[in-house]
Amino acid sequence: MKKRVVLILQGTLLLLLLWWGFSLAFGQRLIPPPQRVFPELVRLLGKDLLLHTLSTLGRTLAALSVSLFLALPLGIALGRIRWMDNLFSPLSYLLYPIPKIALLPILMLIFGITDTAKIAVVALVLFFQILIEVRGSVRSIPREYIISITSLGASPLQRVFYVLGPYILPQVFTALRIGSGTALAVLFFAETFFGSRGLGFFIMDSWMRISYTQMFAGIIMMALSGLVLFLLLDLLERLFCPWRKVVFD
Amino acid sequence: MLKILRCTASYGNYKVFRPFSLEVPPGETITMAGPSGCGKSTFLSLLAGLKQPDSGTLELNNQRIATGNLHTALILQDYGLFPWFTVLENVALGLKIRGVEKEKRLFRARLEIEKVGLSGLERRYPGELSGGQRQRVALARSLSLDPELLLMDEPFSALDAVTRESLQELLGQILSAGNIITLLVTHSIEEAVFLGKRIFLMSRGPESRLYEYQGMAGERDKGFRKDPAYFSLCSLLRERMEEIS
Repeated sequence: MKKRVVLILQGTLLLLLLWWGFSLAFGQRLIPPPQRVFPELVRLLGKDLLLHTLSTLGRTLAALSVSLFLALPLGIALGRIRWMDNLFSPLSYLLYPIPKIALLPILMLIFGITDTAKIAVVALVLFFQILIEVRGSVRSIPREYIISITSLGASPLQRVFYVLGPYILPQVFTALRIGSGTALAVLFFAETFFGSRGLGFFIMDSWMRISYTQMFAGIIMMALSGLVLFLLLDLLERLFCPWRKVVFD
Repeated sequence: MLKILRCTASYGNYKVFRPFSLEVPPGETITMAGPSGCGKSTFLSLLAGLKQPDSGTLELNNQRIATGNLHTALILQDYGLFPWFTVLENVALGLKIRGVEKEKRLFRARLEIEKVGLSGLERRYPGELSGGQRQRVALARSLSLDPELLLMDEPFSALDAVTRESLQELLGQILSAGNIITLLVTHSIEEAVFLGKRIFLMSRGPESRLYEYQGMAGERDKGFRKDPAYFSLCSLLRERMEEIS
């Protein structure tokens, strides 16, 4: 863990250097340098930037939870139950490649110009990603595990709790990690589309006001949001998958 | 008593073995060796109730063998332990599934862990153990269930020679003290001779045949391996194996 912190700091330093270099190359008006953006960032956090960040994070977490709640049981069912797989998997393969963001207008018709519409579009994207990952990992379970638990006399429900669940859990976390990046990207778009809260709104609003320093402050908060989600998922995985410490450390 | 009467099994059109019959009294260990693909594992699946025979019957203490039989324990070469449970949880899992209350099952699990010489490692995960230690855990889990029938599919094949021999000795000691019917499937003639009261060789499939040999009497300890009779039985069986495979 200590090593990770050092690595993250190293990466941050490198990024700041690159940023500073670009700022010198393209001019300070177009790309404000770090030493101008950070004081502005602190000032804005005291006003409403924190609120925008929290609402973006909140929406992302809501979308992650909703999609996980729906995709996890369905993914397990598709991976284990043949007739359900035959029924739903072709459907999910057809629906998966559709850019869900294109459905945002429809979702706005259903849910109105609300937070729910934004969360729904993100959840829709994540749902299919998680579904396909869970189904795949359920299918990849070594036969020996199943034989072993069956020979101990476990009921189907016990098999799910003692074997299937723990087996797929690390892969679920991987899916969530990949999903959290996608979620922020989709949400950014949805937030620029309507509403007056969230980093997507803040960044585009600053851009239109030609306030590039503020825009960069927004972008930094976006990056930090992604980092927070990543670290949160790391923490949860350590908590829920203690046996993985063997792999981690 | 384990009774197998004129049993056959197949995969589609592939007939695994000729009808065979077998009786094993309580406390006896039988071992089975044969070339790859001879049907050893199929035989084990039948006894574990994981596969149904085409014809014939398999009975354990006058009860037909079925899936999820609570009197049977199974040890596999790999993946038998669950990496997400600690040693203690792995050993206690079978008892948990059987609804044994927490205090009782943990007490029993600790007892079995001690028996296989792993005291102090209760809180480790399988990923933190060596291959030999893992199979000791698998053994402890099986023993905690007081099985009437213990099935083992190449349990020590992935281990180095020294570890394998010490586990064979441990197993020999534990089994000689109990009343468990044990069937161990292996590709190693030495292992089959070391552990088996009776030894079966299986010929190459399809329609494999079983050949029965009398094993040796006596304690399964280090001295056993130095017995000239052990060597001669091993080389006799090796010759027979080459003929039938």
